[in-house]
Amino acid sequence: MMMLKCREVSRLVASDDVVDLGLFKRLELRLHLMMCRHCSGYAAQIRGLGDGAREVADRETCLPERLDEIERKIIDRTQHTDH
Amino acid sequence: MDSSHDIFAEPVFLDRLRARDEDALHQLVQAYLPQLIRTARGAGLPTQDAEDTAQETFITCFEKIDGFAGRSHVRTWIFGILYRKILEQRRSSARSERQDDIDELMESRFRTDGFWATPPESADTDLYLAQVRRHLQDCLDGVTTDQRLAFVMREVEGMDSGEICSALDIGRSNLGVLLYRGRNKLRECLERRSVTGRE
Repeated sequence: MMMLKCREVSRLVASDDVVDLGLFKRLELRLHLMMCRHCSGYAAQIRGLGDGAREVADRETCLPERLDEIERKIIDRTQHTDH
Repeated sequence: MDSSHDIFAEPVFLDRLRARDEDALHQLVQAYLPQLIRTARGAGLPTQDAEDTAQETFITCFEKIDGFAGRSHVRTWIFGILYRKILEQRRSSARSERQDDIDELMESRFRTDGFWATPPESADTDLYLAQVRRHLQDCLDGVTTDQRLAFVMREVEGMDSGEICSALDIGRSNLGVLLYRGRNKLRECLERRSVTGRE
């Protein structure tokens, strides 16, 4: 019999509280995810959000020249406010 | 974070920053400027504002470096400064609300016995990822600044709970609530889009 209910599983998965779980609860969660296709689908979608966000962020990373330009401004301003 | 060779965690590095050593400033900016810009954009700032905010974050960081005791990692401290600057711009409240519509929506997805009443729409992994790529930016607009920041710091920057909590100055359970609400809002938004606009 499953002890963890789907509501609790969704909460654990989406809040990252999994890392704080004890060994027994963690095992229970893994079993639940193996047995419940709705929860395993939900968990895969939550993981997919992170995968997608990393891809989008990589695609939009600032150009090196632009970063150099911003750095020059920072260093200039820092030196002007030097004591 | 890679702790095998982390020069930024060494006291001597902070001493160099306090002495306004240009190489140390350069190393710090090189390491964290892209992360700060990415995070500010992830929090909802337009590109130019995100770049300006990252720049101002470093200026504040160098102005205040003498008062930084080094109890947390310098990255955590810098992200804390960034967070406060983003809040000023977004005029957002610093703490998550007691109530959020997503809590009610999630509750309605379950039966009283705790099992799914309305389970998530099943989706092929590749197709789902394509939906995320396509709609994530729009869906993020429905997520609060705090929730977005927690999500981006965790998922894009790979920061651990302790570091995010220190930077946002919140407790572990509060971070859990931010992540839970943010991720569920995004997932719901994507599900709505894939159901209504199945292309």
